[in-house]
Amino acid sequence: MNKIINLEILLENLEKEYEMKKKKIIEEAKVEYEKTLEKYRREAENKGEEEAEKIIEDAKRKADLILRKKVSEAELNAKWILLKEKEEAFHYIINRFLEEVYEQTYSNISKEIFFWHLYRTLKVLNVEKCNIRVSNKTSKLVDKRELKEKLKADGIKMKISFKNDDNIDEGAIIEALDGKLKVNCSFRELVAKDEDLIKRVLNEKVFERTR
Amino acid sequence: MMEKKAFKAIIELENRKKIEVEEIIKEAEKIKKMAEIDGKKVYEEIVKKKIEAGKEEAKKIILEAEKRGEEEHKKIMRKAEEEREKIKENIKVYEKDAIKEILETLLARWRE
Repeated sequence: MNKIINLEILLENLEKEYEMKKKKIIEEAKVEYEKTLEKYRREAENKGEEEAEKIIEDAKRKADLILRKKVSEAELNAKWILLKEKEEAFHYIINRFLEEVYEQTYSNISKEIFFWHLYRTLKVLNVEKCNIRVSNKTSKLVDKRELKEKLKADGIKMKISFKNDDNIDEGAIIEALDGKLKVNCSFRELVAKDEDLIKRVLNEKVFERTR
Repeated sequence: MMEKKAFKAIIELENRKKIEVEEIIKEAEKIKKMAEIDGKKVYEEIVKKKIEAGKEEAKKIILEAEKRGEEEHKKIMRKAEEEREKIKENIKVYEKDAIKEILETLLARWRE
């Protein structure tokens, strides 16, 4: 009877041992399953973040380019608008200048400028004789005697004759070498010669002036 | 006779259980294999999700840049318009000064 009981206990123990072994195998497999999944999760997090970071960095570069492009375009447009406006303003002022330069208000300074313009042109030409055709409205600005005296004082011997010419709108035309050489001396010409300088001055002292 | 029977019972049990263990080992192997398959799936899903989030963030960054670009553009153009108006006003107000400036510039240029 005892032997039978012992056998039953033995079989029972053996059964339990095997069941435990089975359970352990399954549990270990499950633990390994979780570990493997966790490993993939970690790798995926790193990889995903790395990829996302690349995309974001690329977007930041593109965003910077977009912003810079927009700003450059605007700056270029703004410059163009202002340049156009200044160019129009310059032409307007020059036209007003050419209208006003012969008025009484500015006659002293206009006279002086015209004197120096004629004098220096004649000095450079340095010819024996020349004819100066003067427009009617410029004629009042030309002090013939003073001009001749200044040339003489500087040792320049030059025979000069003056003649009023209705065909000339403003200023004067110096003719030398029997009409082969002609020099246009007018305020329009003066302004054209120094256009850049005048633009600079007007820009600084008038166009961009703050009140 | 009795001992022989007991021994047989033990052997039978052992054999049966060994078969069961082998099956369990196979099942465990399947679980491990499933871990690789599921792991790869999870990997792909997470990476995809992260990339999508990155793309969304990138889209926001680009949109923000475009918005800021427009604002900057408007700001610069507004300033240019103001300067343009100022030039127009200055010409009206300082026309006589401008003529004087030209005369003085020409005089300084030509006077010896």
